[in-house]
Amino acid sequence: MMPYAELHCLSNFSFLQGASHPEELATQAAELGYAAIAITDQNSVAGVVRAHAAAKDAGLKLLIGAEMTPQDAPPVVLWATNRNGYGELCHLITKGRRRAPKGDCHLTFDDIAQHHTDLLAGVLPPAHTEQIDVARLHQYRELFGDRCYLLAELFRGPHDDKRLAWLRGLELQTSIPLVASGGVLFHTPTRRMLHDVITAVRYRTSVAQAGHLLQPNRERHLRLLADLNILYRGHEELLARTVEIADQCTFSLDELRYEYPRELAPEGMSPMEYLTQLTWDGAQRRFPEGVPEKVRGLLQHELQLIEELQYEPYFLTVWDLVRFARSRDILCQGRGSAANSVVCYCLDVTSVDPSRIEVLFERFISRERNEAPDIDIDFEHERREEVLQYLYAKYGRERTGMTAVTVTYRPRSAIRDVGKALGLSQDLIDRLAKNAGYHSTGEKFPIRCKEVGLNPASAIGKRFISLVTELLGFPRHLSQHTGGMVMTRGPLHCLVPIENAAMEGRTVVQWNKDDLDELGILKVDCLSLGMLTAIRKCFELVKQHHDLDLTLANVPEDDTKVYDMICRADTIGVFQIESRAQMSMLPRLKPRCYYDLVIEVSIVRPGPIQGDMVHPYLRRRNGEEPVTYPNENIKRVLKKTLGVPLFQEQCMQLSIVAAGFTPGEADQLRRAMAAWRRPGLIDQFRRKLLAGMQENGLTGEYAERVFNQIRGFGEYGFPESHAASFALLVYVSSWLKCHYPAEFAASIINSQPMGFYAPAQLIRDARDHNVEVLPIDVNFSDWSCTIENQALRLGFRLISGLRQETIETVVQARMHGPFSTMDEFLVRTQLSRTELARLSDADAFRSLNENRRLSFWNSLAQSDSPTQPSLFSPQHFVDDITPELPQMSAEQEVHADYRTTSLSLRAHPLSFYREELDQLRVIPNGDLKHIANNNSVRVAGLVLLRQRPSTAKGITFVTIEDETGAANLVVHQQTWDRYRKITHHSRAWLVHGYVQSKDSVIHVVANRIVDLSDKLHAVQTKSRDFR
Amino acid sequence: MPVSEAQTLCPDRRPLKLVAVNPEFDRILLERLAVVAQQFSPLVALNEAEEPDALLLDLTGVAHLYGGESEWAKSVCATFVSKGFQLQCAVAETIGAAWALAHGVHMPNRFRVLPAGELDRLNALSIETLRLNPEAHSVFRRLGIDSIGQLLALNRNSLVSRVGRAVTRRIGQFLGDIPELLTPYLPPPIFRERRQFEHPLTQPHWIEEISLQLLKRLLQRLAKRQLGLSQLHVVWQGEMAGTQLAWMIDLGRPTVDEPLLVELCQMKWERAALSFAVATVQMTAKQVGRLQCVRLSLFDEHQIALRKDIDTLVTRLHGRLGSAHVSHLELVPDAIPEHQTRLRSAIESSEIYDVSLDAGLVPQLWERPLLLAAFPQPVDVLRMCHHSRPAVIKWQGQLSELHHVWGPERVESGWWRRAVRRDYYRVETHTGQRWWIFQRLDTRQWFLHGEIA
Repeated sequence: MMPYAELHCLSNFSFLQGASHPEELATQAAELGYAAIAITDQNSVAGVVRAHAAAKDAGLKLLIGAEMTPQDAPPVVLWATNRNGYGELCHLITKGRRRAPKGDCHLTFDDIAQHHTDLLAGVLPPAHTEQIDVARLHQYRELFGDRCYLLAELFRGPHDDKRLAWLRGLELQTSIPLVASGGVLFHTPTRRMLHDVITAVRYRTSVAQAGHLLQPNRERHLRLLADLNILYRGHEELLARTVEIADQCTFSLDELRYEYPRELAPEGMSPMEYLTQLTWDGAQRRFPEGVPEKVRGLLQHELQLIEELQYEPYFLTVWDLVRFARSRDILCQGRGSAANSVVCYCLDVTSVDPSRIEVLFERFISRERNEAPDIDIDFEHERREEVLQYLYAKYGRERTGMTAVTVTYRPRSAIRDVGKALGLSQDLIDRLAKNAGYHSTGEKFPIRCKEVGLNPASAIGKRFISLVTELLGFPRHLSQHTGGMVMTRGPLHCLVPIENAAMEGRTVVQWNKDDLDELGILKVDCLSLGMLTAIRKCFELVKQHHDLDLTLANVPEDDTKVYDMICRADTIGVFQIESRAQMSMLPRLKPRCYYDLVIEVSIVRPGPIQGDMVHPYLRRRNGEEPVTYPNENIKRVLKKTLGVPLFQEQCMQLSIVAAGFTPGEADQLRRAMAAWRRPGLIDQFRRKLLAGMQENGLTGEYAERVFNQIRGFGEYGFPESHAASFALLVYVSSWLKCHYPAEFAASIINSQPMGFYAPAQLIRDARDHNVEVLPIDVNFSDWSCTIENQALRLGFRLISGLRQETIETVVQARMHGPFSTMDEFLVRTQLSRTELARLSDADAFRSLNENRRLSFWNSLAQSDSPTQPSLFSPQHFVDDITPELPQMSAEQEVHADYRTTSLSLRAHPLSFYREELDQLRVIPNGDLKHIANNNSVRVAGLVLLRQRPSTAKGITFVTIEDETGAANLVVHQQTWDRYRKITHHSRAWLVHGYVQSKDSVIHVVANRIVDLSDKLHAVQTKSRDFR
Repeated sequence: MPVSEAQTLCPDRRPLKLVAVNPEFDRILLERLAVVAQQFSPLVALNEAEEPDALLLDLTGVAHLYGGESEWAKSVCATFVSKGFQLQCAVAETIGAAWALAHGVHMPNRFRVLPAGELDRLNALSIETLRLNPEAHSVFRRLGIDSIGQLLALNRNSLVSRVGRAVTRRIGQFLGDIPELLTPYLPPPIFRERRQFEHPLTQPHWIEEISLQLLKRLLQRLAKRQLGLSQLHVVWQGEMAGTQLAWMIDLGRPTVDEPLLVELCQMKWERAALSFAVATVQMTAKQVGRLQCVRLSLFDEHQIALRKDIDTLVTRLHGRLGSAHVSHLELVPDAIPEHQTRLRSAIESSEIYDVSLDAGLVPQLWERPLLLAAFPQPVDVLRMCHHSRPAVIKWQGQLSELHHVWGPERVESGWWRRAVRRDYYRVETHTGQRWWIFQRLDTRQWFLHGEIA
């Protein structure tokens, strides 16, 4: 039996053409005993990295190639023989894609001619006819010489023998040898149904009507070697040739090493010298009283490691980026494991003083890891674009690109596409989609389908469910990642193809973050943090109104008032500690210093919760439990956290001091814990750890416990450095909230979308702190919120549907003096009817004595596209006759407020029903604190937030709000499911339950939920949902 | 609500009964009711809308014949209720007011009469009854205006610039300031030619002669209106009740081709056995239609001539055989051979199907035999040769040796209705016949599907 290598495969990265994941193809080929496999997507190598990982695991050889479709020649499959060939292939794909709009590729034969070295070519004759442009075949032959082949693909069609004969004829005529290939579209025949479905989706029709667009049979899968031998009987050399071709290709993706950009150091200095100089200069600046011994030692250790691993260009690149941002007054801060580096601190990349935390450089870079470091930098989200443009300008379009994000099918999109393809009625599809979850279909999916009228036991129901489940996770298209940038020394397009993104002037590489990580290619993540924008805006407002120049570095530390506020859990709007979970923790943990904040930020996370670290820590902190350590070494590591390991670095350090690991080995241990898919690896480390600990005299039970804690941390624990960077921002934002609440609220609102709460709650919180809040008005407000006589004046940005240019016009016109009548406003601003209607609906004309209805009435007189008033048509917009318009009730006004701005300064929608609710024995949320633990109670409110953390065993936390405040609900899984219609779709609830109060943290556990939406249907609120 | 939602509300055992909406049918029914209503008023109109659902009657000068407007309305209601309809009836001095009253007050099978000059009694009704456009309604909703009284309180001039003239026109029509015209409904004419004889005739050729004269006149009348005949009804009636001969000639397409019709009629008559004396001859055009124009192009006379010939042929066959018996084959893109062709009525598809134009059709269609069995016929394979190909088969009692076998061609498709998985082979028997056989991949049974001529 002849061996075989599959040379022509489309994976699902040929969007809507391939029906299998690249790793599925690789794994299946290995199981079938193929000699090798080539994943050859159309004009793309987006899927090869996933295939690479799977092929490596299975021990199968992977060829890298792509199917190129020039517009003036037959399509040809190209395979890379070595690194150079691979570079040519990437360059070719880049050329074709950069020329075309997003998602397309325009290539000509000449393009291929310019990039043919070290590539093998397999020309693809058309599938359904026996006609081909022989002249072009000759040209291919001339171009590629004996690297050119002709693909013979047989699919058990009506006349395979004739086709083969024709191909043999071509072979003689053009001297291009034939080679067998599969034209594979899916890995097993059972995927054929899904392939028909995606074909129907591709051509926007249904499967029943797609006709000959569908494949006539299932042959285009990875076939058994035996079947291939039967199919090509009499032509066995075609099969043998596939292995010949595979043998010629020796390129592997592992060969792609990162190549740093070069223009990093000034003339006459090597990059390492430059880095060293910058570091010591920075150290002087950071420690003006002299660099401490400890720090000096750390710096020398780090610089030595950097030089050894040759990472200095990377640090210089990042330093340059941060320097640029600071020069433009863009707030930024390094996050993540980079805060473990003192060099980074001296370079101003991170802001965490290494003397305040225990740094562990190996958490950031280690010899054993042998891959480039990963620095994430947070920038103000509104100005991040400037930073990205700087990178493009400095390194050029050819050497920088953004990482891609693979947008995949989610439940709703999968349901819609599969439903349309199967011919389900549109209304049924809509209902199925609305009833499904956001992220996955899960086991309850058949029940969901039944609820809306699709019987899951019927033939079509079964098919529908299985097809949707298969389609989930399939890539749909590539989109740009928010901020990951790749920069190279040589042209980027020799490393990976670049294509156009949807946005003008943006380009994207064909691989995503995980692919780049897998291959060890370096990227800088320029992340955006809303809070940085808010802090900067607040600094500006404080300077403007109080003439105080604040920076992240000079905010007064250790302010008791601020810590009092934090312990009270009065933290709405504050970075990181405003969530419900955090607010429940604050009164128990009671942070009183910076390091307490570091702990607070890290402790409310899945890692510590699952590892059962939280309660022991709190008990020890409150003095309920003695603090003990097995020995002195461990005490040193765990002292700051009272003997309970909370941080990733601590776990690593434990393995070092307790089990004798080297720092590099400790880092490997941490990463192995994260690789839970490879249990064999974890086992190895477990044995080593236990053995090491035993040598140091630590007993079995303690050792086991340590091991389990370390395991729990691998995936979820916070690095201490990361928490430390964040804790800085927590303190600064708390300080601002405490001392300048009006400015703080204004900045957070002006930086939306961000944070946990909507403007309505932020404003309510500001009012609770005695900030006066003034409504939006054409005579006073700007686009953004402003401070007016120490009160917060709301801005026009809160009105949905208004454009900033419209408001610019108003503000400009107002510079000549305030408006006194509607007529004057219309003449001076010349806004269109729709814009006026929006303003009047938002009640922005109150200072002109025009209520909503009256101003709307007057706005109607304006034509839709006003022109300049001319001499001949003096436009009297407002008649002298005031119309008799009925008055709006208070409730209607509040509903209108919510409709336009999602908030109301007048009253809360629920306040109008207080009497009715009283009759139903519902208590206002503000009275909850007077109810004793375990008493039954009824509460009602609008749904603000729903959160279902992964550690909470299916419990959902819901926050509802009425006119007296918010209430936190606990909804167990059964309750959630029992009232699913309400919990899923309703925005106003009446809840029967009982009170759970502990340490001044109050929750209501829900037993029964009643829908209040029909009373409040006019109120449109959006609940923010979190994991 | 959508059907799927309604089905979830239905208890499991009772299936949902669905009746399709049919606007055409509704309109025809309403037109018939308009004819009935003509006994109550000289001017009956349907309301102007995409799908009319009301009748408007002008009462001027009629009410006194019934003894007053209330009596009149009572008769109207009684008549329609007795026919099995539910209705609401309102009488007022303007159409706008009557419309508002009829739609604004719930009074099943009853009537209301608004005395003249008392329009303000309607002030409490919603402005929805004023026949305004949706944009105007959304504006009024925002202003909080929902009753007629509130709307009338607004200054008319201010309204014009704000919501447009259409609204003020409706208000004017409601109040009677602006006239509203009704377009009376006129039923369509019947094309019929009839001749009664003083003395009944017995000679067939005289009767035919007169019938043909009537036909000629009928066609002339139709041609004047640019109409053609698609269904002709011929009746020869005798003196005594119940004695008659009737024929229906169905042409499918409207035509005024006299020789063709004459020929068709004569073919029908020559087989008639006349057993009574004919007193009346009647020719009715049961169905008429616009005459279709043939597109003229400057260069393709041959195509036009061909097309015309084919049309004539189809019409003749249609006339002779009836619509159910004249059809043509249509090619359907489908992988499964028995679904690749479909019969369609020849009248509906007026194109000459030029297969060479559609190169996109899967060339597999060329690979299909011309003769396809209606249902695949089971055969027995008695001996297989190398590579699992059939060598000897038995069909209808006869043994055939297969000298050549080409294939297999694998066809697997149709999983969304009924999955088909077959391996097809073209075979040549020892007698030189060429067949198309297949093996079902699931049951491994063999079948004969067609003959390659």
